[in-house]
Amino acid sequence: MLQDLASGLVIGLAYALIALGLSLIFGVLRIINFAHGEFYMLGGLMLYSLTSRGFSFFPSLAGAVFGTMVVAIVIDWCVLKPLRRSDEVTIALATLGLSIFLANAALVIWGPVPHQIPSPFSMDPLVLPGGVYLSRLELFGAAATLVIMGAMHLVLQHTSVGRQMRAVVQDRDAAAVVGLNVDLIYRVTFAVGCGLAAVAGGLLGTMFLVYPAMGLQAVLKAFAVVVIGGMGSFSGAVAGGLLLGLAESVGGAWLPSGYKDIVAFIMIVAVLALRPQGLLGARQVRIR
Amino acid sequence: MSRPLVLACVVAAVALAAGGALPNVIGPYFMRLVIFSLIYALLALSLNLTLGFRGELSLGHQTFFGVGAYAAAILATTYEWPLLLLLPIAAACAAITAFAIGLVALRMRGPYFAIVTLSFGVIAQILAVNLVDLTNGPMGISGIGATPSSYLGFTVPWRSDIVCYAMLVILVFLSGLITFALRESKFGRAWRALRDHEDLAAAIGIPDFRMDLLALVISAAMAGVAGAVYAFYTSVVAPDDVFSFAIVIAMLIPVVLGGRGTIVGPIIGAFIYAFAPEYLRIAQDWRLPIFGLLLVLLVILAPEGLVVLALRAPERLRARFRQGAAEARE
Repeated sequence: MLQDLASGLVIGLAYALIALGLSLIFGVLRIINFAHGEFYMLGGLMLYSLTSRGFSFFPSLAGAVFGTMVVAIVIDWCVLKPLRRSDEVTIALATLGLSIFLANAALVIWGPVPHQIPSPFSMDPLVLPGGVYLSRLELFGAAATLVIMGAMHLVLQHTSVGRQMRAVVQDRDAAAVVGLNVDLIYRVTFAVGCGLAAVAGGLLGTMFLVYPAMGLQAVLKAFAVVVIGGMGSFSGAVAGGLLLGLAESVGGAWLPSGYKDIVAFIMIVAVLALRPQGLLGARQVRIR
Repeated sequence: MSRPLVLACVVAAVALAAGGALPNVIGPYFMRLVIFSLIYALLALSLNLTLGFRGELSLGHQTFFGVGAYAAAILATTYEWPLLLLLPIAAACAAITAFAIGLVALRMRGPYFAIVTLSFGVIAQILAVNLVDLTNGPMGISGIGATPSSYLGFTVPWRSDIVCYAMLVILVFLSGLITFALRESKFGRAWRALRDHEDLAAAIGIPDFRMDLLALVISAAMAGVAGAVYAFYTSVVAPDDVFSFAIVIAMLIPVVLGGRGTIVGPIIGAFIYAFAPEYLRIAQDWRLPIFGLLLVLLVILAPEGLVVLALRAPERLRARFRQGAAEARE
């Protein structure tokens, strides 16, 4: 039981990290990034390519995140900028097209075979009080996620960039009127959001395996997290991620095998039926 | 009868009449492509109702296709029912599924609706894999439509090219007709009003939830029918095929390519989607990335769809010509 809780927390933090980027992009740009899972995948696969060329783990991770952010900036410039004033369904179609493009281009470049990224830590697990086993990598991943979340919170609340982002969240037109460069804020937000997905892809990719189809799985979980926690809500993404991770690992122990992945979607349906704006979401989601 | 309607009848009649000779002319390989194009056309017309007319993006339409396919597969293998009888049953099963899903999913709109329908698609796939007693699990069901039926001394081999082709031509024609009739009806007007301005339309008293549910249910019935024909034609259904996200992509690209909210557009789009890979042989590996990129480019450069652009091109050229002539006269 304690073991389930611990692994649930570790996975939940990773889910929260993917969802945080998705939620940030939604909050600022008002778009749902259907290609979010593909940035997660790019993070993992770039990390694999760099480590397999002999670079050590941490510089490679930084390189993979940077590379993913460059891709994100190019995409924002070529695809999202011309669609800034389009309706939501059109933008959703565009990001869906991007998702198909990136996932299948990765399939051509990297091939369908899953790859293993060598862990930078020793493989023997740590035994925590209560007889809970966690690998050093899992512990590092959880800690890194917490640090990143804290840093994101500080940036959003206490820096000029963060204040500008929050201004755009409140009212895009008013922010433009007082002289903020809304377009630049959009681009920075999109790059940061995708960068967060890449970090998660690198960390989870090292715990499990990396392959081009990993994005779809991840984005489905991230969608579940933001729907459960509330679209565009920072604390909602964190709470939703932890809740989903715990529900999956505890529920997975009870449910017949094969049904573990259904937990997320049952939770989506339950939340939508009972509290459509999500657990911590403001009433900004368009509901009936 | 209006001109497009007459034209559609003529095209369908010619396609039916040509059916007898077609396999001999183009060979079995291309026949297969034509049949798949027609299945995609049926699917595209289905998605077109919700995406084109109503303006809601559903990413769970493979669920209705899959439910139709499984309903046909299960009944055909256990009771040996003929395809003709199974078509309305598959449609009904898909419609009931859509009604149940719609009750929850239609509480959300826009991209949230897309996410929720996506989730339902995954739930359906997981159920199809795990409800082994009903669906035979990940192995799927095979041997569908193995026994031909005989009527008045004629035997009808359900999964032969000719029968599937003829049936699909009729089904695509009927779906087009239903779409046409719906577009001209008060429902079609209500959907367009909701698509163009949701809150305003609701404010003047259009029952938005019921209208959306209706669009989803009719659309699902079409996808269910397509699923039943697919099950008989390929004789195998497996969760990874009929509930796969690739089915949604195969529905989306023809609709966006051909023109959202038109009737001919999605049908032509479906043929382009099925045949393009044949002529993109050089780019074999890059086929799907190219389709993804195409979707992005279409949305940015030609949101009304290629077919609509092409159909309007002569009119535009004429207008420009007239304008040029008028300027020359001055």
